[in-house]
Amino acid sequence: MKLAGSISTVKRGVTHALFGLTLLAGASGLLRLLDHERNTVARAEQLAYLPKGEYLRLAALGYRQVVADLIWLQAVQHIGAKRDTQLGYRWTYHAVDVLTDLDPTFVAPYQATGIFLGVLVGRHEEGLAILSKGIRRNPTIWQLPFLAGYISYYELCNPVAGAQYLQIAAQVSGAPAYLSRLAARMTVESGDPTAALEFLDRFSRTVTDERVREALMQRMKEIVQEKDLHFLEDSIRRYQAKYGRAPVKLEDLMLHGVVQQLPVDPLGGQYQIDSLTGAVSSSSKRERLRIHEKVACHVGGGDSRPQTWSNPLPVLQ
Amino acid sequence: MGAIGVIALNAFRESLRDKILYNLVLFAGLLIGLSVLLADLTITEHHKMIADMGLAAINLIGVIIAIFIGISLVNKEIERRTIYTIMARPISRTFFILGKYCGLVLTLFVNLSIMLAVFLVTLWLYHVPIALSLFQAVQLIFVEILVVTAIALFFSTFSSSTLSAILTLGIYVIGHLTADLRSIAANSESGVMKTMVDVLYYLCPNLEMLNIKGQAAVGILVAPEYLMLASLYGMVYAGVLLSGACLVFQQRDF
Repeated sequence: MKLAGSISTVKRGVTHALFGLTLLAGASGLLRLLDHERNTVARAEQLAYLPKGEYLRLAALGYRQVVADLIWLQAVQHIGAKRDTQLGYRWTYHAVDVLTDLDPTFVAPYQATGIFLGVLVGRHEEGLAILSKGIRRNPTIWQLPFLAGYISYYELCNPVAGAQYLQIAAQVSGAPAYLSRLAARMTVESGDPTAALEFLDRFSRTVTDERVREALMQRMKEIVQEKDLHFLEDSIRRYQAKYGRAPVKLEDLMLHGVVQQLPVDPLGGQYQIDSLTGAVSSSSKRERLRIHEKVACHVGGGDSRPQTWSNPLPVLQ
Repeated sequence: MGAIGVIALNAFRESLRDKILYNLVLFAGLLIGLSVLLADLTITEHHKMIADMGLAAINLIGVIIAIFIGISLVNKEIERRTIYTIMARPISRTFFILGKYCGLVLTLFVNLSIMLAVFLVTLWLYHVPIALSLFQAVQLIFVEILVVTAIALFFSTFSSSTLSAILTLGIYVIGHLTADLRSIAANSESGVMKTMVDVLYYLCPNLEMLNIKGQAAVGILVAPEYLMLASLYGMVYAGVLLSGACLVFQQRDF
């Protein structure tokens, strides 16, 4: 009798446990489906619904920094994402704007968002806006005006604004001495890719995070590639002027003494020529960098590189 | 040992029996878990974020304990009817309130010290520089907890536990908003509004004055004068509330 009672209790327990486990499995399955449904845009939308910083400041009570940290963690997911949407970028800007209202001295978001929006995805105005806010709130951090200077100078082709930002950076106590020289150079060499490379190299040396440095390095390689393509196009034009036709392959440039050496694609691809049009492209990148147009605002151009500074890529690769 | 000491020690032992220190396991898990996550997730400055999270966790857990134990200190004695036994002894009601308060402060001090130790170990593990400013922030967190405990004790002398918790939480929220409210009211045209907000500003505790977590996390020290003044402000305010609690408790019939 007693044994039958115990068996019945065990049976009831097992039934309850199985029922609970079935429900848990069901909930997990539903969650998986929901995860699948939520695409990048939906995740980015979370950032769009953030209230303005001035209101969130009140709601966060004495925990503003932590709330800012949590928003930053969300925003970072978009900054780190390989594929994102323009809408997602806008909301990332909004999120960083809000979190820097909560914690104005949190320097990393200004810097990383400045690089991300202003340099990597081509939303220069937003990148500059967030950097300007950072400069106002953190006048002792020279890296912020330095980066704003780079964006103005190279990405926006505005050497006057670039030089002004660099002057601000140079005036910060503890700023490197080369800033004043760069500012002076900027005013005469607008859009020079070599100067852009120097900027990025100098800047990447001050960045502590490996991922940000990698992103900057990638950008530097893209600029070097663009510079190579520009150089090859220039050489092809000279070849055409001399022989009245475009070369069949790039090696012809070397064989006919137009160039001494063919550049190597820093992104690991091969430079190719369309013998009909004379256009040059790289197998590593389908679309040419936007800075192609930026090079148009370059006054000096050519292959000249200043003696005082050499391309850091071979060393850093 | 005086009557206050005996009651304080008793209140401390009682909170230990209630397994209050178990929250420390939660704290340690939360802090270490978050730190591991942050070190992997963030772009730059994970040092600052670990410090932010640690200070916020110390503050939040301290305030939660202060509120929920503070409101039950007196009410529990009344509900269990042990208050009659205590009141029958030659112990003044003021000493009873002060003893209870000191007991809870001792509990919170032990709690805070252990949380600080766990926090420092976490910082050390993740190679985060241990700045003096962090200790300054924890000092002011402790002062804030002293004020919150006094608020909870004050309300618990004349209202139920639930109502006391709501009122204490309300004052805690207002305490972090008075400065903002004052700056909003400064733009108002109405003189009455400005006066009302001014009265509220001086009447309610300004807990934002005790919040230096943001600058502490990035290693910015506050002036010793500020630290001293802010601590003094918090203690004086807690004193005001304790006087009020003693006064109300004197009037109650047992």
